[in-house]
Amino acid sequence: MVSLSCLTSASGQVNFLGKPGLVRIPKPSFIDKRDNIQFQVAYLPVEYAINNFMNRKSNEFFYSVQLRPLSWVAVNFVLTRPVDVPRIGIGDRHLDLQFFILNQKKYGINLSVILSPALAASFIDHNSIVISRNIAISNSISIEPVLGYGLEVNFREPPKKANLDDMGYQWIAKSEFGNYYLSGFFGGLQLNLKDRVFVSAEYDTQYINLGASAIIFKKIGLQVNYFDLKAISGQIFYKIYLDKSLKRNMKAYE
Amino acid sequence: MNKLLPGIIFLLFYTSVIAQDVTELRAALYAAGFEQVLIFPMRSTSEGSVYMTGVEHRGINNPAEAVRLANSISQELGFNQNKFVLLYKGQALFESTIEHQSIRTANQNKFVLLYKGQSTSEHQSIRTADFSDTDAMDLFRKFSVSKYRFNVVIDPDIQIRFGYFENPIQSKIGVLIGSDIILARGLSLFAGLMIPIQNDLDSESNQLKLGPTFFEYFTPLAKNHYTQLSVGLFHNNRYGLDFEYRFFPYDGRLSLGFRYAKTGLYYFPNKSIFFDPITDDLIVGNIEFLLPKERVSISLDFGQFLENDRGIRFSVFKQYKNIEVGFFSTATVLGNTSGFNFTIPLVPGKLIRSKSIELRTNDSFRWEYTYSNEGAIGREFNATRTIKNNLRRFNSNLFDKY
Repeated sequence: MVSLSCLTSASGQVNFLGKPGLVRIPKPSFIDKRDNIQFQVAYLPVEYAINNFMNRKSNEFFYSVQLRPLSWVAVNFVLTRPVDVPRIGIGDRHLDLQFFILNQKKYGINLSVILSPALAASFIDHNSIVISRNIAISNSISIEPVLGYGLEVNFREPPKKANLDDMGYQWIAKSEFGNYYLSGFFGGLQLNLKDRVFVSAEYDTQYINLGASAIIFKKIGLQVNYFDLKAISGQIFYKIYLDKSLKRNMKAYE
Repeated sequence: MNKLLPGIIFLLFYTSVIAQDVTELRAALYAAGFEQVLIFPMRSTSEGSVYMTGVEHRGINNPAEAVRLANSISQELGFNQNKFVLLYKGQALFESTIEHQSIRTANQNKFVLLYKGQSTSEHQSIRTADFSDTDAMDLFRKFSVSKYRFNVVIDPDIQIRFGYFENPIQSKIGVLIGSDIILARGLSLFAGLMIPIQNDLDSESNQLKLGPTFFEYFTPLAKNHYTQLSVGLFHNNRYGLDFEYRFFPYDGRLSLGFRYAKTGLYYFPNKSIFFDPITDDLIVGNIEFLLPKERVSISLDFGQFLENDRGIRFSVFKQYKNIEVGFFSTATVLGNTSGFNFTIPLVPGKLIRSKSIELRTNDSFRWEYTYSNEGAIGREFNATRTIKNNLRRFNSNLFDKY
């Protein structure tokens, strides 16, 4: 355990939405100690795209901003932009909250709950619960098995064309809207090398994906993903640490 | 006589050294960007005199950092026990002292504490206190408008409307060159010049025009009770009158206030200025609670916002060292929406600083994103100037945490 506590200065791998995670699945633990804001761009090839807003898919970019204002809650803002779909406007926006409820130090496992309301970009909705446990193998290597369940239904209004008697808010299967992201059980395994290099394998309820990432200068993350063991894609993030003193303010200080 | 003369010479020498030191301190603080810099001897101790120093720094948006900077400059010049009175437009807010504490750690028999990643034998903490009325009188007697620099601030003005299919990013971008000219203690005239860069958002012309220009008077009514009255052309194309009251105990967790504004719209169509009548009443109450450990303020606004829209706005603000990030949700008669805002210092900061003038980029650039772009849901105006937003960072519970 001593070894693990030495490994807490850098940031971990994130999924394509910018959340702590593997490739497409989230995980319930983070290793950032310092407050930061993270900006990410991820690319999804058309076969694995999930934005079906205009009833057709395309290669797509996910731009995300992740901030953890409190130690137990993270806010994630996502903007999706399909590449070749015209008339999409700015893109579809999505905001969700991840609550880090249990941590391993105290309870032996990490557990978090993701609340992802079905507002605008409903194809990313993934109300889910995730658990994991970090297992140290040596001083510099640890592995983290992750297991989770994503709700297969959403509490929302039915589509206008459904013509139901009750058109109010109700539980509706996500598949009714062509949404399959994180519906059901998912899981994966992540290998952590010195908090700098990560290798992940996962089942995301649809595909088996692999991913590898490296974090450089503690603020830039480069990641390569191998979707469904067929298509290669990537993502990149940049972190800004928020509690740094401005040099210009502190010229005479310290 | 033989004994008296050296004594007198020594006394003269001694007092001149002290006097010179104070001048040096004043100059050093002023050179670092502080303004006013009102220094008073309070009492002598075995380690030297204790001075009360009134300081204001308009280029640092974190008051704790301003105090730390002032303290480190004082220390370098041998003033070890200074008390700093934070000024806001020349009005004294409260007193701060930096305490150097040695802390004995549990498992080591020496004085070590991690401070900013380095082990030092000291931990700095900022202690705050009220100051007496006589101290305040001393400060105010020395206050002089000429102790301010002419402060010119470069501030981008960026309005973006997202989401229209044909033109997903409609924007209105300009650069505001503005200056807060302090006319008397608490009273300032903000005058601005707007340089438009591009505009496909509204019908305002792309010519050089008058920026927000208004008089603003900030004063404490009593301990912890503050008011601000402004008249003129404000940000967000509003003109009229704006009054704000706030109960803000600097060491407390709860603060509350209300704002009343009677405004109309002004705008600049081609080569002219147009004023809508002043008919819009804004009456908004606010309750805010600070969680100091998390550096989070939970804030509730309620009442009548702009355009007679009634409802509530719930916000959460997190304070970082020089950055504030906020999230909000609004529910009003006009609809519901949510969004976020942030306040950041712009690079590069100071551009020119001389004895009488300072040119810099805005230390507190604020930008807000609202999800819904239909209608003015729960909207206020001139947000960067309200005492609700500006006093928040002066809460001394935050000082040792950022």
